[in-house]
Amino acid sequence: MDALTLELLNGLSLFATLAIVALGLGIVFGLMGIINLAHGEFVMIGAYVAYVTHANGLSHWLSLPLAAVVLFVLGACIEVGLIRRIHRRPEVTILATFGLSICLRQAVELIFTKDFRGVPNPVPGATRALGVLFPTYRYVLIGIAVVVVVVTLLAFTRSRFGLTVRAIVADRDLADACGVRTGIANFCAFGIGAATAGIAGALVAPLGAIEPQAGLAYLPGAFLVVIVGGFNRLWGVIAGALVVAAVQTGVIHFYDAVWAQIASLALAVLMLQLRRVPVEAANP
Amino acid sequence: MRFEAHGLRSGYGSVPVLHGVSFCVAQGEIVALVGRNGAGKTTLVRTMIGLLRATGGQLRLGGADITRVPPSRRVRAGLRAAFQERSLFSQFSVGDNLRLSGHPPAEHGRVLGMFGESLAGREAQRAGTLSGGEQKMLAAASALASTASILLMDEPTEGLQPSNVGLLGDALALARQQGRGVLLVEQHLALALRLADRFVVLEKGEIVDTGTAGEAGLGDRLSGRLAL
Amino acid sequence: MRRALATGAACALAAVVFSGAFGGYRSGQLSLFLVFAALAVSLDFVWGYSGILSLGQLLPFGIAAYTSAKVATAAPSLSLPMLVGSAAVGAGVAAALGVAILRRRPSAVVVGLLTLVLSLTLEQLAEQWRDVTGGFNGLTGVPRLGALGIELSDAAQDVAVSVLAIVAITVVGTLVTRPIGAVLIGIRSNERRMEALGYKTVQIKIWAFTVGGALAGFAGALYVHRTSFVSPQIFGFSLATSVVLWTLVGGRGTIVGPVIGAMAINFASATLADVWLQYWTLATGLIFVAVVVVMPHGLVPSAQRLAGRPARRQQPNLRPAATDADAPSGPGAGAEAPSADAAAVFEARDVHKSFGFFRLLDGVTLTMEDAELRCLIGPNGAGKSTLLDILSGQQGCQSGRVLVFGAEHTGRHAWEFARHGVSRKFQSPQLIDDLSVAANVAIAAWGTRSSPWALVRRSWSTAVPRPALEVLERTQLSERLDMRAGDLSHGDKQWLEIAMALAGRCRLLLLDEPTAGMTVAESLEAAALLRELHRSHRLPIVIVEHDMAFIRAVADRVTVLARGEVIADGTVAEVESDPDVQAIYAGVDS
Repeated sequence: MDALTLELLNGLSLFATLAIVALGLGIVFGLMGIINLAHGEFVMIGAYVAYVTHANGLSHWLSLPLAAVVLFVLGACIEVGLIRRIHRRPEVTILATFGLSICLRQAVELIFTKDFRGVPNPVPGATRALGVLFPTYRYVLIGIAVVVVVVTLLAFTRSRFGLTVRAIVADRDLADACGVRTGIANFCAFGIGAATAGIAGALVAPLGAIEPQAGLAYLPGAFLVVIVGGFNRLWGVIAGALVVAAVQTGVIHFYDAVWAQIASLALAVLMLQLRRVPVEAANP
Repeated sequence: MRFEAHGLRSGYGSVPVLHGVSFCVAQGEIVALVGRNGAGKTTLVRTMIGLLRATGGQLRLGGADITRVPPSRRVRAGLRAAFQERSLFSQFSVGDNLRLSGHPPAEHGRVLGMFGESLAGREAQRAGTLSGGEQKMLAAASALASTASILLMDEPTEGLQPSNVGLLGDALALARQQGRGVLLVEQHLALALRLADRFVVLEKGEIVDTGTAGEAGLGDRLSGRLAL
Repeated sequence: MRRALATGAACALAAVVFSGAFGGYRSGQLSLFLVFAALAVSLDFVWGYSGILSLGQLLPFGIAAYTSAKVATAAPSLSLPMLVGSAAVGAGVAAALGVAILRRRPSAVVVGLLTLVLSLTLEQLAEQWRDVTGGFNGLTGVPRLGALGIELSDAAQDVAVSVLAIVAITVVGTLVTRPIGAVLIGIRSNERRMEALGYKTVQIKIWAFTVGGALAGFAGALYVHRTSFVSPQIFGFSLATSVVLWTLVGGRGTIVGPVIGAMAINFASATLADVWLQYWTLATGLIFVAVVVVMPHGLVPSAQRLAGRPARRQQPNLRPAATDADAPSGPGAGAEAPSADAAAVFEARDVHKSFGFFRLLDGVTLTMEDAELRCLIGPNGAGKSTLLDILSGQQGCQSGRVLVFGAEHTGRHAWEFARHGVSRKFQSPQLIDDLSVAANVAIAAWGTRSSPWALVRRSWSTAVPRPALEVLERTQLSERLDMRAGDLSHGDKQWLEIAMALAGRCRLLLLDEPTAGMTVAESLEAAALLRELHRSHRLPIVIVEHDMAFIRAVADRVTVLARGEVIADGTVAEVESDPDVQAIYAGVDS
């Protein structure tokens, strides 16, 4: 019974991590039709923001808003300098962000070297709940991740800004003709997508090593979430993260990590067979 | 404020549709643009609002050259279009559609009440579930309720019940009284003949005839142009 | 083809001389980089030629490398024969992937994403599956190439690997000079068009993906022997980006480009990385982004363009089909299908099609009993193009039946319609812009009898049905057969498109707005030509048009559609005097 509870908590923690890491990816793909292959690097840079914050003797909690701001600015610059020129050509954007990911990784390596960095756990220790001991920081992580994901998604589905952005996605020409400034919406969507990646990076920073290649580890999981959750559906991020976390945790529990990977692969291919993929939906 | 097109050329990809079209719409007048299917009417409207790039010629609004200006700035400069097709965000509610067109919620009642009862109180309904005619009315109402000084109406009467055609005609006449200019694109002559001050006939992407209201034999001439 | 073989032989010779002259270290570098070049060419074949954005070309490469490592370690004397086996492994991996991914016709973005995710996941899998893959450190101590108990020396292996890589590249380089090369370019640039010509595009793409996988697998085996170890990083992000970079910078859609890209970037890396590794990697990232944005075609095509000498491609030789048997089956070849005389040309029965709430076609029944020239008219949104789509298999319908020459075609694919004799011209010209006029016509002629291997073997000399040649001659296109189709004027594009429709197994011609963009004089000329085609070859033609002057000049019979229903049908005069039609057109009522 306790083992099962622990597994459930592990699954929940995986779900929260996947959801917040995939959130920005889902936003940028769902709203702009762009696959951002540099998304993992955004997460990695968020973790470095947490490291710098710690190295300067500041509180870890400060690094979350700080990472959001830094990554928003970076994302916005990338949107203006690069994405804006090419965003109507999906194949080109996937290649450009592919190259961008090399640049970001290498720039970070030049600044911080390849050495592994770490951030101490701000809330060490474990909490006993439901009869099992579970690291306290993980509870915090689950809480913050869920709040960030839900608030961001609400902002996109409920606010006037979100309405504008969704209108552009639904029918760019019509939005143009309604007088909507389509450029600004893209700028914000890409910036916010990057900002959530920054928060995700800072949030997971105390849990593992921080190094320039760290972003790559998040990429397969995050894309799997978007594929499973459904393209062009913002709330799909939550459903996708739930399914992927359940499959991975379940298979690891009963078999091992190898089979969990194989199951994920099978899931991705299966979802592609079942789902109608929006073919060139984003480029009229 | 006066809208002018000089030698306008446009098309889709490599397919030329408009071969040098010149006309103008001044304030306080309704200009009817008539022509058969495939004559280039919708292309003209889309080029005027800026969704299609002009491949030649010039567009001017109030004297300023807007040929290369993006659509959103044309709208803020006082131009407004109601499209023939895909004139609404069908996935969004009626209220959201109005918000996107720049009408704050306080105005929604007024906009929806413009054509009698048929749209009143249906703010929460998804726009795609309105009937074709209701969608056209909503798009027309949204454009008419805006502050734009030049309105481009692409076949607003298509699919409308006769009684609503009457209401639409009244609303257009009111817009003219308020000193706004209207380009009324029509395939159906009845409304155009009742309302318009001037007529422009488009055929194969060129203006082949013009006319003024009250000219002798105008109706027959125009129906001749439109008949098979 | 000869040129490709000669180039390959010259390169192989140069590689041997280079190895002899510089020996040891340089020779080793050359062999490794040539393996990378072969990998880049495999991506080029898949992506540059066939348009499948595969970011997972490392999957066949890496899996074949692991397999070869296992086999060679267990039985060193099998390593040389296993090179062929590894090509088969690569082909098998790619075929399985192709079937799993490509059948649903995903967009390029989805293919790229999925193949990349698969590759990265396999990296993690290889790290964790220690028993088989040796985990993070991989498999080491892989023996050198050998057979029959003899293992090559290091120096000999370097030369052998170089030559084998060049041979493999040459094989693919030769393949693309065959007709299949032109067909792949066609599918890349306009899949819908190719399917309407009768090509089973999905099958051909899976074939191309498999061939690319075979080359990648072969390269993987060479790689593992050359480096004597393999680790999970073979599936990793770093190598995945590098392969794309080599191909992209060199220029996809040319075999030379990726080879040059791979060699140049790797030699530069090897030289510069010693001095400032980190800055060099950053520079490659920047080059990547810059090439994508500024020079998307890559070095070789851009250089060719600068020099004013576009890529030379094999030009087909068009000759008139002597008999119907010689042609892919021309118009009027009704005798081939015994039922054709008895059955109606086509029959659409009670066809319904809606899109969301909007009913595009609401119970349309339309039959053409005999070869006639029929025009379809109606207001915007009446469903004319949709009906044409359903008659040519571009779209399915929700209910109702479609018969073509008496054969049930409801729910069939576009290529099945095409192979049964339905030719379609789209509203806007859909040519293969990068190919010549002659190649466009030839592709159209091959479409109805095309398996990938047949297209590899077949001759460039092509029999074309007479009506297609007549159109080319009447419009002087026959004097511009070498011209790039994309450079033609709009009117000429329309004509070429009609010639293409006639070049296949055309027994029923469907034309969507053939006079769009033509002047009044041109459209009347078009009317005369179409009438003549119809009369002299008894070719049934359906035309969607708005231009009444054209319709009067051309039509035997007119069908009027409005709001998804047929509202009138008859001669031009009958339809014109029909009160319903007048009402719809002049807008008297409503």
